[in-house]
Amino acid sequence: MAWMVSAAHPLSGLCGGDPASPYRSRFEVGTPGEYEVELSANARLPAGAVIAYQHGGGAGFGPAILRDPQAVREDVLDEIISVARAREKYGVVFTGTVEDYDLAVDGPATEALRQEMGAATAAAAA
Amino acid sequence: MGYRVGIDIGGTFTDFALLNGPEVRLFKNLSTPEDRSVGVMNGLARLAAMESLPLADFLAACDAIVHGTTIADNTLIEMNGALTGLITTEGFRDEMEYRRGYKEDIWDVRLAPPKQITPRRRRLTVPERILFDGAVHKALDEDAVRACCRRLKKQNVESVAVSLIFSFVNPVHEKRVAEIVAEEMPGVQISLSHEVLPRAPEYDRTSTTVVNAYVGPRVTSYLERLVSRLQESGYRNRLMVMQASGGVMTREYIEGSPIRVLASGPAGGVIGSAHVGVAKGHRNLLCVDMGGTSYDISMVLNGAAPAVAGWNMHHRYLVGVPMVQVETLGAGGGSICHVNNGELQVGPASAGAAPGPICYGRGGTRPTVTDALLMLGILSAESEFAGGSFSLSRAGVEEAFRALGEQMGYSAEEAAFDCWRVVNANMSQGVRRITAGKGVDPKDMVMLAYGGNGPAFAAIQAEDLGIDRVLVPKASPTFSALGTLVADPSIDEERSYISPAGAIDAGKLRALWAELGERARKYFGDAGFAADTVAARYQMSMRYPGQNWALCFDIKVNRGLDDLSFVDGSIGQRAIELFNERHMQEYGHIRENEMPEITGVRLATFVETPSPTTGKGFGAPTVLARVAKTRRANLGHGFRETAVFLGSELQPGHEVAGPAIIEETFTTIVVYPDWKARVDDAGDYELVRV
Repeated sequence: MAWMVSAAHPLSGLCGGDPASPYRSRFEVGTPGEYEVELSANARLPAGAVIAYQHGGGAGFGPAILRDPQAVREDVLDEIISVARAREKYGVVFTGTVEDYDLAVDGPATEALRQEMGAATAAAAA
Repeated sequence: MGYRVGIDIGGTFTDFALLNGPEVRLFKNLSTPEDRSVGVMNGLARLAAMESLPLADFLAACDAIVHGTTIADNTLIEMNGALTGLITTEGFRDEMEYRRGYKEDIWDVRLAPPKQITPRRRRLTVPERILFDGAVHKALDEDAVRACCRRLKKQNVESVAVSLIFSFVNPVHEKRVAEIVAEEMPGVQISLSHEVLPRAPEYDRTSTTVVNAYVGPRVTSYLERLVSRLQESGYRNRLMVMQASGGVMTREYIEGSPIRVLASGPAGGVIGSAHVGVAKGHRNLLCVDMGGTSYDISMVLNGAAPAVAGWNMHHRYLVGVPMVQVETLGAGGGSICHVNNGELQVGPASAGAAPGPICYGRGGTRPTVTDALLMLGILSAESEFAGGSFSLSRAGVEEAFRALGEQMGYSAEEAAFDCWRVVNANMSQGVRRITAGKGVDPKDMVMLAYGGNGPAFAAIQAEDLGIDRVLVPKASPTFSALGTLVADPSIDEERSYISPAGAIDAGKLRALWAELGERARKYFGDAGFAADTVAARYQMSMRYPGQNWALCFDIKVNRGLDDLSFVDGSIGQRAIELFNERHMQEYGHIRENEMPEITGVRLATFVETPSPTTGKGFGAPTVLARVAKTRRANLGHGFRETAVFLGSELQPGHEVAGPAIIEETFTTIVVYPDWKARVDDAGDYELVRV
């Protein structure tokens, strides 16, 4: 017997923060009957069934584009997020590379990108 | 026989105990945090002067210098160790960050997780896999190792920890990684998990190896500096270094495993306590050490303070090597008194040696416990302090407490008294947490108080805890230094071997113990001890299936390292009986129908060396001691004129009735109301409740 939590309801962000990446759970992995649990499941599994369970993340607090660019840089250096993700989600632009550990925040480019992203968000809200 | 010198470096003072035959001389001076070996050499010069010898002649006449150092602890407190990288098996990159839970107290929202010694960018992984039985499932990807080295090198890493899964069963991949790291990153220190802590589980092993890598370069460079200073000054013998297991070993051994000095200072005090307590006929002791920075609590039960390997959280890192169990609170003479949200609090921040308490007159401006004792008249600006190294000054002290009192709405003297009460309560709480956790009633114990500030608080602590006898050894202010002289040279190591106890492979056991025996033989031999003088405790760790923790017990105690004849076909059966006995003792029950499993073997070896003799008993007739002077003091019942005695005038047989203050050279003993103090034949103090 197995229970699983919802993938459709990730943790909500607060004060303009984004929701977390959701939990992902799959039952009977590697069999023709493999399926992903969307909301909840209370299933009787056959003996030897494999369950794959991927923990969801924590949600955001405040808009991502207000996060300190230096903190974003630390996350990129620690390979928690990629350079591309930092740009697309946090509006942070870098010079240098992770591989050479010479990554630096491009201040003016970051500022410009964040303004653009903020304007786009405001326009979408209006 | 020549001199033996014990040296213990604390956060505030460096303590010395000099043993010349049965005679013990004590000395302490301020620590020199910028280069601690300077404070050591200064103190040795003073000891030489006391013996009327030039330093070179004094050092040449030293048979042994034994050293307890907090260098590894300070490195972890200040988080200023080597820039460390970790190479681990693919898939295990984040284990060091998951830890056993993200932080120790998940309910404390203000508690930040510990700073990572190896942040993710310096934790790199390589494809390889060795199985639980030692078989190579996936070959080591050497190119990946070289790529890791290049990345670590770009980050200027100075010390590399290598911890691969199941390396303690088969170290072949770890050894190969070490060769490649040595080629690619010449000059870095390398710590290998199969050498630092060769056992499961992998998080314990990895954490211990990472801490070893982090503190290692600081420990080795410090010891090297000290040894060269000692040699230049004329010392010809080996430097012995205190370990957290309660034993000492050569500098050469420590350099192979620097993590073993972590928490070694307090261990020296506990070993000294057990020695003194047992000599005086007390086998169950509550040992409290209050120095300038911290209050260390430990217990001696049935005459011993065994080292426990496994779950030792130390400065927020898990360290698996054997350690004498000592709990530390931030409560010492230098602990800062402050008001926080309308609440008077003492510590855990400390003024340390620099700037120190206000009354040291060295620039300290925040009131400390020592300043409170001066306000209460327990210490006096008219008396010598720390053996006459300097005098205390009242300048600024009263003002600081007045400012504190204003925040609380009372006078300066009341503020000082409240600080005394708060620090007492903190210490009693700390003791109760430890005794209750072990199911021990403090009422059944004798308190042994040491450290510069221990004797000023001991009797009031004892009263709080229901204890009615307190020992204050004459050597109490430098007790940890004396403890390093009591401690025997020892090596305590383990190896992993996992098997149901009913199916133990005696050949495998013999091979593991023989391997540990060889290491002991080598290091004891290098230190000048013949193998037949080495006492060996062969120990096994076992648990019931499904238990998380194993219990460790002696299966055989031998003299010499050669006789493994006890490892025969019946060893499994004997181990099961001993394990059940131990389980009953620790947890009060056994699982009769379950077959326990062995998780590892351990070999604790030591050589008995001469210890300072400790007098016992009260042979001398009891006489009342002469009051040297009186002063206004508050010993918990308001200010009144209080008798002051001089330790230098007290002889065996002397008795002092409380309330009274005894001024010793390096400490102050407070005889609280309803207590009396007696000096025993060894010159040690015993406080008893009237």
